[in-house]
Amino acid sequence: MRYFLFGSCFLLLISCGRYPVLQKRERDEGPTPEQIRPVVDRSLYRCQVEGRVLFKRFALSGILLFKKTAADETHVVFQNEMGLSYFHFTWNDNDSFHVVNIIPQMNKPALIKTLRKDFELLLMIHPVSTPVSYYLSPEESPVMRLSLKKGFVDYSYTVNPDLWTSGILIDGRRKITTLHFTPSAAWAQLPDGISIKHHTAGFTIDLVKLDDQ
Amino acid sequence: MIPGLLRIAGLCLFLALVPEVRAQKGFTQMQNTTALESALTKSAATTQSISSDFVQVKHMKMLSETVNSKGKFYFKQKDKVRIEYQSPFQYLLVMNGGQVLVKEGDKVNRINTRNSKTMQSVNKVMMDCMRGTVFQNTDFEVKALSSDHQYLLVLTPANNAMKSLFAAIHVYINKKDNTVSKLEMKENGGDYTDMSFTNKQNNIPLSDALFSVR
Repeated sequence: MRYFLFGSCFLLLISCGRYPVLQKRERDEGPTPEQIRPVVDRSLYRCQVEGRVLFKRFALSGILLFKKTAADETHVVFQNEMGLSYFHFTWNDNDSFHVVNIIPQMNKPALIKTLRKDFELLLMIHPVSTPVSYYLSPEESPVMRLSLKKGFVDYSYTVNPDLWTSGILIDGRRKITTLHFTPSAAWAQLPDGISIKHHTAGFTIDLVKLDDQ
Repeated sequence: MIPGLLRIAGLCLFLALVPEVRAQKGFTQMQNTTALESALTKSAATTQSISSDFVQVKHMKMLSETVNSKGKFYFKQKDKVRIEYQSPFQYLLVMNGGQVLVKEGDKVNRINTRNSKTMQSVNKVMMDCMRGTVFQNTDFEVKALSSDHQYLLVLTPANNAMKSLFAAIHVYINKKDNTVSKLEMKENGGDYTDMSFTNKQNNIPLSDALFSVR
């Protein structure tokens, strides 16, 4: 509960203004990215997308499937309730991204780039050589930072219990995307509830894990 | 050299046709569909309502994977459809005339299909299947096949909007009562979704409240 409150306060603070400067610290008992990176087998989520373009609101819903194949490829498939695919993305064993298919209405480079970043943020798909550093949030909860070519990603986590609570993509000083997990997930696991907020693109994606087996 | 190339071309043509051949196994194409069209219209006229369970299975070719869901299906003449997904998620879709209501939890969305070509077309296919007017749908070219127990209507998109959504829609009709037993929605990439209807009850009283979009 204490860790959840820390995580929530941290999220609240950063959602109110500029992203704060965090206090750097040594790694101590903090995890490596490989320890947190979720191991994908097969997970199915109910997915709801809501947003606004200019003054017009839009909503979209469906089923999102994460699946890893025997060839070590990670697939993300989004389909509507009646089974019609919206998009099918894949990352191969070298984390190279590929669009298998996408409906014409969503086949926009900027949208594909945004969605790709979302899933790479969630699945922690980053080059092995990505520099890693460790910080403390203003509430002194631990943060692991991955430095990207442009900006960085901060993942909030706890140790004992070993959980990860959120991920934030920052481009320079602006928050671009925030991932929040409800409840917090164990390291190396996909969370049961995921809320993805795009601060500049103006839409949110809410995912709730389904049990269809 | 030429015969070799012809053999390869023939093999390629055969392989290209294999999925269609497999999908239509046991069916032969009907040359004259007038009697079928008339029978479907006649049956639909005497079917005032349908209540049914359904099982939906999405087949993903590249992943050898399926996603299953199930629920209840209701139809009432002449243009009311209610699809209730009950597992593994709760989702309600009601089509009534030109209006569509979508409900999930506390969230309700109302869509006027007149503003959406795609939704209008999908809505029309569903209604046409129930009303026996599939052959009159101008969004698709319709080919009819027959087996011992079923008719198979192969709907091929005739316009770009539908072509972007479907490679084809297969409608299986039970010869015993001329009602739809299965729908197969085939996508361009090779994935497809089938929706099988079971525990069908025709002409049972269904309240208009089931189809309210207000």
